[in-house]
Amino acid sequence: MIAIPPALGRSSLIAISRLLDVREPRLWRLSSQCITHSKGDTLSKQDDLYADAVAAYGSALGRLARGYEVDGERRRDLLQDIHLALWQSLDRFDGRCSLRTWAYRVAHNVAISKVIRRRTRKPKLVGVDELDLRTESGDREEQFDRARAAARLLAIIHELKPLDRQVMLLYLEDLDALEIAEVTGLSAVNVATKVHRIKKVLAARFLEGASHVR
Amino acid sequence: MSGEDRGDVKALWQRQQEEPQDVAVASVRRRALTIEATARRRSLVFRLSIVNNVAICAALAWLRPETRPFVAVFFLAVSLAQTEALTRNTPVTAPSDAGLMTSLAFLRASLERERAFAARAWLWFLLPAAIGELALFAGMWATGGPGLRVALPLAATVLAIFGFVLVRSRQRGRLLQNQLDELGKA
Repeated sequence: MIAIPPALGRSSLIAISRLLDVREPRLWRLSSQCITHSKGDTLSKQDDLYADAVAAYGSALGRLARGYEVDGERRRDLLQDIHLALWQSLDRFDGRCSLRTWAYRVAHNVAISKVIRRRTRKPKLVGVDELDLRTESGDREEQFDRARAAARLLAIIHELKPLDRQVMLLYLEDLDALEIAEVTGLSAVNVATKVHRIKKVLAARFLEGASHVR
Repeated sequence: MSGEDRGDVKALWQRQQEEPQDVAVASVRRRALTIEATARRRSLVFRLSIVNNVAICAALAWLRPETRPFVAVFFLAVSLAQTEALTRNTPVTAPSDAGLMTSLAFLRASLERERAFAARAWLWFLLPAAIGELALFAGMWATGGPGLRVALPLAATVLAIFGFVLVRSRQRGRLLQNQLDELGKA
């Protein structure tokens, strides 16, 4: 039998084991939810809300994932993480904001956490103010090719810093300045300024005149 | 692009070809269980490393009673570093209440957490580890083990690593502070 010296006694082991449990509550909560579900046949309110959110904004979440991940495999992982976080978070949805705002907040926050984690391997990101306003060179007809245009749009999005990227993605999803402010936490005035700049960039990069951009 | 939406960038964005998604509630639950199992496995490996530390220290203290004070210091220091590693060195993930936080608040909280980690990593990990190593060297020297010829180069190596990590984490802290300042202006 190994003799444990008094200095390495039970009290220190108990203290360490308590500290080890610091990270567990979220996982335990998740586990209990799953067990509850497996025993019952009816879908919970959380599941209903998730189904509603996916039906209404599932496509938008897919596009959002594209705005953060170029690589197909990573994009699928990100999308799965977003759906998981959304489902988990809806347990706490209390209707203080719309389901759309909630879904976008969760999705962008998950995506940001991924961007932060891999920030060191990313090229330098810029603000929307730093984007070049020059018109892309090349054949005009080529610019109207949908696939190339979509790829160019994605390239612009991937250049942007997280918050500016969010504003651009939400603008492209047709949210107005107030809704974008609600998701991002930026002031409506700040959002309006950024949206104005985004419109100018998009007009310069895609079109001959800003009037074509809504 | 077709004529009707030529130049309409929003339409271009919204009419992208959709990729298939598995969004069924059952699939999401399965993924949640998989992640939970992975976290449990990681936690188990970590706990085993603590048990390993306990076993080695206990065996040393039992076989060589004269080393007990040094072993005790080593054990406490390494246990502290292990515990800090478990509780603090977790990746930045969206919390379950992510829907309650605006992106600005979430980004700020994430950066502040990273900055705190960069600023205190030396205190949470390196200092206990260095103290543990020094206790080990002192124990070796006091009990007639390898002399200073071995202990000094080892101590110098530990200190060099300590210094390197300290400088790098301070650089990282400054970078994060700049990003936080930038967020403050948003």
